[in-house]
Amino acid sequence: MAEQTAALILRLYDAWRQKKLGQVGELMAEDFCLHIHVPPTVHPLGGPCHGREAALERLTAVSEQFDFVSYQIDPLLAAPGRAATQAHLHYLHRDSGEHFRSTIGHFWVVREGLAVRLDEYHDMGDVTDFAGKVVEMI
Amino acid sequence: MADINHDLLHTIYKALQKRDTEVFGRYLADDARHHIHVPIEVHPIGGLRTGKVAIIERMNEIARSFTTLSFAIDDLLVGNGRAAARVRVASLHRISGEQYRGTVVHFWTFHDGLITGLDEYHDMGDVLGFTERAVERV
Repeated sequence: MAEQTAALILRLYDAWRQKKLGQVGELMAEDFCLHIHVPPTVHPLGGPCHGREAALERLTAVSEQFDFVSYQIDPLLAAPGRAATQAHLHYLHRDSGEHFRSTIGHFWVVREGLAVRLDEYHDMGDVTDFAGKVVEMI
Repeated sequence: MADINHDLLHTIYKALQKRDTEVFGRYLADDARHHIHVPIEVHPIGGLRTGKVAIIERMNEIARSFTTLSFAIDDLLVGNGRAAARVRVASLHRISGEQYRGTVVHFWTFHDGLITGLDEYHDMGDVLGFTERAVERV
C-alpha cells in the first residue's frame, strides 16, 4: 500500500513538472482539497480550495503565470494513504520576469488510488520577497 | 548509532515538547542545521541556525519566550534516514499573553543516527496573525 501511494504521488509530480494538467486531474479524487498555507492577502494563489475543479483552476493559474525552470523533490516518504516530501522549485514569473526560487513542504492524503488532499507549506520570506517584487514591477 | 524509526522520532518529539535540550542534544550532529522558514524580520526566532550550539540556544530562546499549552503529532512518516511530521501546537507568548496556535511541519534528515537537518514550516496566516496580535499587546 505504501508503494502504491508513492507511485501515485510520483506520477502526480511527473505530470505537474510537465504541466500535464489533464493527467494531474485524473489522479485526483472529485473532492480533492488543495490548501496552500499562504494567506490570499499575501499572494492571491494562496489559501484553501475545495474540489478537483477548483484545485485544477488554481494549478492552471500557476502553470500559466510561471515557467518551470526546475522542480525537484526530495526522496518521497510514504505510508498507506499518506506521503510527504519537500520540493525545490525555480519558477519564472512571465509577466514580471522575476524568479521565484524556494523550497516547499508537501503532505498528501490518498484514498482508493486517488489523491484527496495536498497541504503545501512555503518559506515565508521567499513568498513575501517575491510578492513584493512582483507587485512593484507589474 | 540509533535506528531512524518511529520510536526514535517519538523520543525526539518528547524532548522537544519538554524543551529538554540535554536529551535533544544527544541526537544532534555537531554541524546540524535547523531552518525555521519564517524570516527573522517577522519573528526573531525564525531563520537558519547552523551547529548544535546555535540550535540548542534557539531552543532555550523559545523556552524563555513561550509556554507550551499543547503539543500533538498528527502525522509522522519515517524512512531511509528521513522523517516528516505535522505537529499541532499551542503556546502562550509570555510577554504579550497572546497564544500561538497552529500546525508546524517538520522535515528531518539523519546521518549515522544523528539529526543533520530540520526544516520547519508554519502556516503563514497563523504566524502573521499571531505576530500582529502580539505586537499590539506589547
